[in-house]
Amino acid sequence: MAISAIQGRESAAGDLRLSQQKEHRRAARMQRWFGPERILWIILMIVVLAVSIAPLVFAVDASFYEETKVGLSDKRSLDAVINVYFSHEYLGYLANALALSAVVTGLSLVVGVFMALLVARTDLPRKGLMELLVIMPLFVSPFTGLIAWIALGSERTGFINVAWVRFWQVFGVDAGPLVNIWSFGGVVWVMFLFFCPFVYLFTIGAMRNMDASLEEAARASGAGPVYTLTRITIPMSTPAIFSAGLLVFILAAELYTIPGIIGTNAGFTTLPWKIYEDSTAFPVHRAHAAAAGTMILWIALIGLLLQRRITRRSERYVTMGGKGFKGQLLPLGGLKWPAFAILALYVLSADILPLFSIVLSSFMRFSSATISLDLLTLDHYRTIWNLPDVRSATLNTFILAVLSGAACVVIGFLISFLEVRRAGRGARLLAMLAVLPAAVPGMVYGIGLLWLYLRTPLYGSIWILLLAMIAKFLPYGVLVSRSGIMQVHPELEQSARMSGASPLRAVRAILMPMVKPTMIALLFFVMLQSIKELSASALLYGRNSQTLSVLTWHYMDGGEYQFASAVGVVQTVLMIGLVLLTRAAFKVRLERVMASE
Amino acid sequence: MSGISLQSVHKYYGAFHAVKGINLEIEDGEFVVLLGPSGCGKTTTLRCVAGLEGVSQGRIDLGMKTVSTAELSIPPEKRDIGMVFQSYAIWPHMTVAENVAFGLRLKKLPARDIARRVTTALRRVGLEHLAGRGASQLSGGQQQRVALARAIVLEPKVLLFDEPLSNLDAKLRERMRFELRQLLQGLGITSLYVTHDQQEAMVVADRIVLMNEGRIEQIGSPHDIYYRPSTLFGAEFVGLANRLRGRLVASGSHSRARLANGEEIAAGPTSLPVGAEVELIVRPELVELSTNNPGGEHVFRGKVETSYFLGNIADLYFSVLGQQMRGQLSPPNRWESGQEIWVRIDPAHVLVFPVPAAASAVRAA
Repeated sequence: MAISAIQGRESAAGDLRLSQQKEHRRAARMQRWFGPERILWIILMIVVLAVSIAPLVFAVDASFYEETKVGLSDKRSLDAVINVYFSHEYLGYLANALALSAVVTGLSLVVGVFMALLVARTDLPRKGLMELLVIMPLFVSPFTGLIAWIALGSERTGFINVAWVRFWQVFGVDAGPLVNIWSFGGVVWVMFLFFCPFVYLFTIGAMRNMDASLEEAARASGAGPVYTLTRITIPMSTPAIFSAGLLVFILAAELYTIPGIIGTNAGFTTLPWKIYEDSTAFPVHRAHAAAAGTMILWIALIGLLLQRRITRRSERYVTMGGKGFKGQLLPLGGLKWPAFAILALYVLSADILPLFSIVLSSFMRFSSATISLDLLTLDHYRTIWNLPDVRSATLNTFILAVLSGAACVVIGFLISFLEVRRAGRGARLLAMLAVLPAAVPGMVYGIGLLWLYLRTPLYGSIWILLLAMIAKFLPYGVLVSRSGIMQVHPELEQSARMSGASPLRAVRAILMPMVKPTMIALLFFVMLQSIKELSASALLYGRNSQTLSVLTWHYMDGGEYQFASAVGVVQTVLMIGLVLLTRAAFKVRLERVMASE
Repeated sequence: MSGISLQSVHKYYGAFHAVKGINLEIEDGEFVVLLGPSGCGKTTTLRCVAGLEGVSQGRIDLGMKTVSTAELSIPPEKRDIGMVFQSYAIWPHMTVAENVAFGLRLKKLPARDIARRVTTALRRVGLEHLAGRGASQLSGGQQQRVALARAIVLEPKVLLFDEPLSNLDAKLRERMRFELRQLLQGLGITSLYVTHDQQEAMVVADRIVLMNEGRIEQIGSPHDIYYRPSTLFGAEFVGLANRLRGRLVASGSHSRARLANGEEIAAGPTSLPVGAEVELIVRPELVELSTNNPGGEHVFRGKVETSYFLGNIADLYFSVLGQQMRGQLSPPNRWESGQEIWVRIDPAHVLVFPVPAAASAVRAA
């Protein structure tokens, strides 16, 4: 009797507990669904869908229409897709693009890994300076590099060839030109110079993070220093080297500016250049352009999938940290200066000669092989300064850089915060969609945005360029802030909560100050990318929405090398200035951001 | 196989003097442990023997061969050594068998011999069944064994261990000590082993080299190091110690010291002069405690302050001779705070050391 009464009381208490629990759970669910973070998620999702995903859908959609001479008709058609995917013409262009990309990637890998090894593992002289100079090309527009190399390496008038011929004339020898930039080799050369630093940066990052005892263990097992490098150091870096190779391959496969300018003169056409022509040269073939764009998209997507597999594999390569003894550097001995010379040759070709030549060209009255004082003039700068185009382009460039930088920092931080700290399927999906455009070529965005905003006032304004840039650079925003947030242990915020801080307060007082250096680096990195951006801009710009990049493109197209050089100098000075400013004012090294991708 | 000889080895990192003249002779087949607190120079010494660091001064010989002087440093791969690292340093891009076979392949041995020796080495560490496993799929303990197999498979003249067990959890660490000791005794390879864990050192070592601030404090068997420490540092670093400050009133084999509260206590042998300031060291487990007066000499009255039950022992803090002391008792009886107890301190267990120069100077001032 007594026992059953007690049991009864207990079960009543149990029921009460159970219903309380249910109540709590329901409240928690309400909180989850309608709390401020849910609303934030919804807003971010709308932004990402509108900015990153919609243009992609439209870029694909545009391939399925009949073409008119100025755009697309309303009628659906499969002609363009069939024509692009099954004609010898387009497949030939694709083959050209892939071949070019493969050669550029191969060359960049060999030289980039070699330079990384020298800097990370040997007692190379003047290392600090070399490190900075090797990555410098990342902070300059490749297109400016092309302008510079045209002045340096043209067959008859290039500075290098002139100097070469003159040199041999002294000995009475009639030497031919040394280099010719107007060739397939020339395209490879310029692209290699500007993509190689990616390989260098990724590889050296992996080598620096490697536990030194892995290499010491090989030495203790009887392996010599060179054998250790080839059997341990390089294989351990393969995931990073592979990632870098893929990145370079994709970048090279979608680039149309350099192969375009040179290819039209050297007699070969790559697919991206064909896409550019199809979408801009009258009569336009917009559906063909869009269909060919999807081809490039496939390459990028396959690359992305490969990359994911490699990253997964490389996560297994994470080893337990040792005591952090830095391994001893390999003494180069007599090879010290020859090794230095190889690096110096790269630095000379990628930084010093182009800078010298572009500055010189910008001061010359006209293209000339001989240089004399009366040829030099400030007129071009005076002229471009007085051109309304240049003034508005400078302003546009600046506005776009600041706005796209700020947008990517804010949106990127919020997305990766939700992903890392409030892990759930929704947050993961959001982050995945935001990162997707990393694999999408800029020109595909250009095509999609053109079609999406065709009959709106955005068409031809700088805001359409801004949308393209946010979509294209948001992946950096998400990835970089993700790695920044992941480095802050959640317990740091949790203990702020224990001390009485609200969730928002914990983020503001703990997380945000701790990731601030990362976010500043990210801001400037995106600004630099935005100043450099050309592949989407060249498709999207209108009369009032030119940027400095677009102007150089425009002048080059019109054969006005001196103007192009002068604008290129302005752009380069702006970018280098920005890099130095971030280094000096914020002690931020932008190349670290790139290596953390 | 061969011995190791270090002759006044110094190592500087810039202005920092990490190793200040180490002299050490390790015999063929001996297992020697470098023990000391972090920053005492033990790992640096080991890395000098391995050839991963050059020496700034002095000489290191392996067997008959000089391998390190200030001018010369034979690279590690030419020293015929095996080494186990703290991080294990298992190459994640190779399988277990490939990790172990790495050095053998370098020697260009026939594939049959390599396979046989890899199998033998893996059997020795009990990992035969994992030969084909990717190295990154192993647990910490398994990685540790692979590292060991990789080091012994070359049958090196000398084995070097850099805190090999410190990344394992406590239970596994304890078991691995014994396994390591048994394995090495079977192989008879000269071994130099670095650790800051004194129990680990006691289990594996033939001889312990106690280091502090770049110098050797004492060399001796585990028993000597524990029961006959030659310095105050040694007495306090190894094991637990009660420390009593006093002044010698009688010297020689049966010394006596007067403590701060005026009481006198009999102590072990010392050659310090009468009147010298001394530190007396008594190990907690050697203090005899009882609830009723056992009678006889060397017995003092005390009072229990706190006691902690640790399972196999009781850890007891009590006041006696005007200060707090610690005792350890096994089996652990129940003790009440405030309880009166009798403390017997056998003079043979009271070690006498001079007060360190710095401390006495402070006192004089």
